[in-house]
Amino acid sequence: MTDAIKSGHEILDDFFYKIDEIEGVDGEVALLLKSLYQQGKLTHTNLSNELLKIREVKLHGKD
Amino acid sequence: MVKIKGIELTGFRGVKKTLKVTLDSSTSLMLYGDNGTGKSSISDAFEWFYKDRVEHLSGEEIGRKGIDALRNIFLENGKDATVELKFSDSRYDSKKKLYYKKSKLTSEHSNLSEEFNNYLANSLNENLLLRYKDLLRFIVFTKGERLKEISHIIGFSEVTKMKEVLKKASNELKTQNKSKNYDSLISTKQALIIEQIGQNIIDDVQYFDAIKKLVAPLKLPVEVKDDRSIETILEFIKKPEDTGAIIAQASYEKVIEGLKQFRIFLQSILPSYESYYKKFQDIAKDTEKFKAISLGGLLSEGLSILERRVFEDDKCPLCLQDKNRDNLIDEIRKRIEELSSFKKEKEGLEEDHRSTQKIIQNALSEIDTVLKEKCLSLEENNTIKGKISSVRASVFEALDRFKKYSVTTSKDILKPNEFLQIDDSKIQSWESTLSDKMKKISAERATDPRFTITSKLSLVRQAHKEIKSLKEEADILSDQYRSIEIIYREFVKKQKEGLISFLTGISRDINDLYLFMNPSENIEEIELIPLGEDEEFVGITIQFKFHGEVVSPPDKYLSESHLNCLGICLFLASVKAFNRINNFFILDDVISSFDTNHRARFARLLVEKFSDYQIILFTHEKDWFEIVSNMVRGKNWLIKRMYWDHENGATIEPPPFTLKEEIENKLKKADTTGLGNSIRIYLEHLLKEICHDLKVKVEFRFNGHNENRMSHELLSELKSKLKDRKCELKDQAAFDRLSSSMFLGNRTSHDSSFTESMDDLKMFYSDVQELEKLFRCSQCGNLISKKHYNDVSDKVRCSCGRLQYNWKK
Repeated sequence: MTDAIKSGHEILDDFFYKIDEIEGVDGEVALLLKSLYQQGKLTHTNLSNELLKIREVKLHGKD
Repeated sequence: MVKIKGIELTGFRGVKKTLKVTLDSSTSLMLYGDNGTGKSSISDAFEWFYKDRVEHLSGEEIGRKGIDALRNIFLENGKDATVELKFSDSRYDSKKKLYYKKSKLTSEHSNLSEEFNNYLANSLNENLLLRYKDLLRFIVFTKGERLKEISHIIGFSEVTKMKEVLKKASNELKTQNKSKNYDSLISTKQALIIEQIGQNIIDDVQYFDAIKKLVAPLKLPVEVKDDRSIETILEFIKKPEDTGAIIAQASYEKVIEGLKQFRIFLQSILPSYESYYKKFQDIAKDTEKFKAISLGGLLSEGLSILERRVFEDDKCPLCLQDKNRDNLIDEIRKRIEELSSFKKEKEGLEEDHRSTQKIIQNALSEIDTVLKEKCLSLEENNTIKGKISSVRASVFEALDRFKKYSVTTSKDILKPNEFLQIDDSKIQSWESTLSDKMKKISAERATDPRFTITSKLSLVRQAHKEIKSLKEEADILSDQYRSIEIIYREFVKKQKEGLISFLTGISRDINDLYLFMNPSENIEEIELIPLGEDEEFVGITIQFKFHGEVVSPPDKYLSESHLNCLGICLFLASVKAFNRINNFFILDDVISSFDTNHRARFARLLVEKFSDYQIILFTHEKDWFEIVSNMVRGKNWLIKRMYWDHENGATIEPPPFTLKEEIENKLKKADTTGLGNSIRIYLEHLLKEICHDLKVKVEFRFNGHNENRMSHELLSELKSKLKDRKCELKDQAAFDRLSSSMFLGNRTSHDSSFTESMDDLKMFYSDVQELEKLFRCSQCGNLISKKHYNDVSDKVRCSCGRLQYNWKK
């Protein structure tokens, strides 16, 4: 079988490595997901908390 | 990549003493032996070394992952059974021992390094061993089991988990967006603006134009152009004596607006609760479904405890009754799988629970904000404040009650009309009363246009600011939701592509391998096909063209031998696909159901298509052994035979010098066990060596007959060669004595009634030694050889020249 066929881990690695190239995705959200994945911390709770932080910083920064 | 350099088993399964094989990293190994000679002891050793269990020994009667069956039953008390593997990368060398610890068999690796543990963990995902009985496992799996197996091997379960994280995040953002009710909040504030200045404002340009018009009658020297200029105007026109009235007006406005918003949330609570209530009843009224879901948490927790090895005994961790641990894990997995049909219903219910709770929380938060307003602290508003507080208490109580609702813990929940009883018209009447009070403040200053304009300007400015803030908040939330949703969809796409690409690739390999072994047999285009529902895969089917027609499943159309062949192809394709660390694999007696033609093709397939791999083959089939032996000649394969005797258990054919020591040892101890066989094997080796060195040729015969003729024919051919070369050895009595010996006719002790006495055996060995002395130099230890032929004197000699004989042409 050719090397182009990927294991689950490789699919995840590739996906998150190129996540910022997905059209229509907010850069900050893409960066957040990439960073959480690379740290091995991409869980629902962590993602939810970090998204809330981004929203608060965006609103708070303009107040 | 890693290959095997050494295998050493002691007191393990059929190996009583020690079985040792040394390989160099490019050598493949073929072991031939009858059933019961201990070949599978080696494959069991590999399985135990990597997996800490031996699947085929893990039945209920043996238990403990087969560990209780691993120690050789004749091993002395206090001695450890061991399996030592040495690798081309010595960092992974380890000796695993099986020993008694507090009368319980326990295992332990000698290599405790992190890199070795990582190696073991990563090797679990590789295909290293195939046994005959596992050939059909994948083929006869259900569609779902096949998907599960493949998903596990290629790490797709991690991908599925990640998909769930993204899906959950997307759902949560959607729920938040909905429960915040941004549109109605903005509408309420827009309504206030219309009420104050008679027009709606949709952007900053309209806003500044409207403010310009509003303050125009005051003919102020300040131009309205931005927020700061509006601040300046307010400071300019505000009279100190009006400040209290303006603050009170703004406060009344906030209360009225808050109550309106509260009523909007209240209207959303009912339908949301109704939907939740209906789903709850659907699950709760089905007792079996209810029970199954109720036990789901317990089963998952139990499985987690067993899988994490928190509890290792062969007992149920809950009731402590005896139960095989592996069987228990399988049973729990099956029961959890059965719950999957209810899982979607339960997830829908939980989703409704989350969104309903969020709406109630938002309503409570709105009413809390209202109650903090200064105007409600005025004595004249005590009654209304009390009533609002009472409503707040009802909402709080409802929220508290609702949080405790769970289909696994509560069966009865309040009906929708009983859940939260608040009279909307009463709240409207409070709004009206408060509005009148606010209007009264304006009415008292109706003759003062400056006050009216200041009041309107303050309210409109505040409302506009809040609308902008709400819009911004809604936009940020929507952007996040949109981004996560796009990422989720892209992820699902990649997951599908990955699995399909994998299945296409492995299908191609399976097909190529199968066609190599079965050309022109009307089977082609073998494919693993994913089966899906919505965005989920639910299984994998195996389909192929059979006499030109696409059919499935294979077990319906193929013979047992063809199914086995398909199983081997699947294993070999998996080796190519998944084995990234280990460059070896073991095939334990896998060709039993093949006919001669398919056996030859399979041998060729291994030699031609898997030459980069270190292959370890075990077989009890003599013709397959012959086929492979011939095919791999000169290709760096180690070919060995295995046999079993009482003293050693499973043993690999020892090299002659070891055999000689063993024979002499037994002669000393007068131990006849297996002695005749050992002397025969020794003689056979000796004759082969002599004939090889003197270029003595034997007549060609077809495979299968070679083994039975060896010593007789070699002796006879050797003698005739000596005659032919006029060698003085030709008349030596040793030849006749050995040729007429009854031992040569008894290849194995169990197929003859002949009983060997120690004297007979001593005599036989003495004849063999006499023969050896004739050909082996006592000084250099080497045999006479054609390599040292002197064509001047026409003599052959040993390497030192002390022993030499005539060798005429």
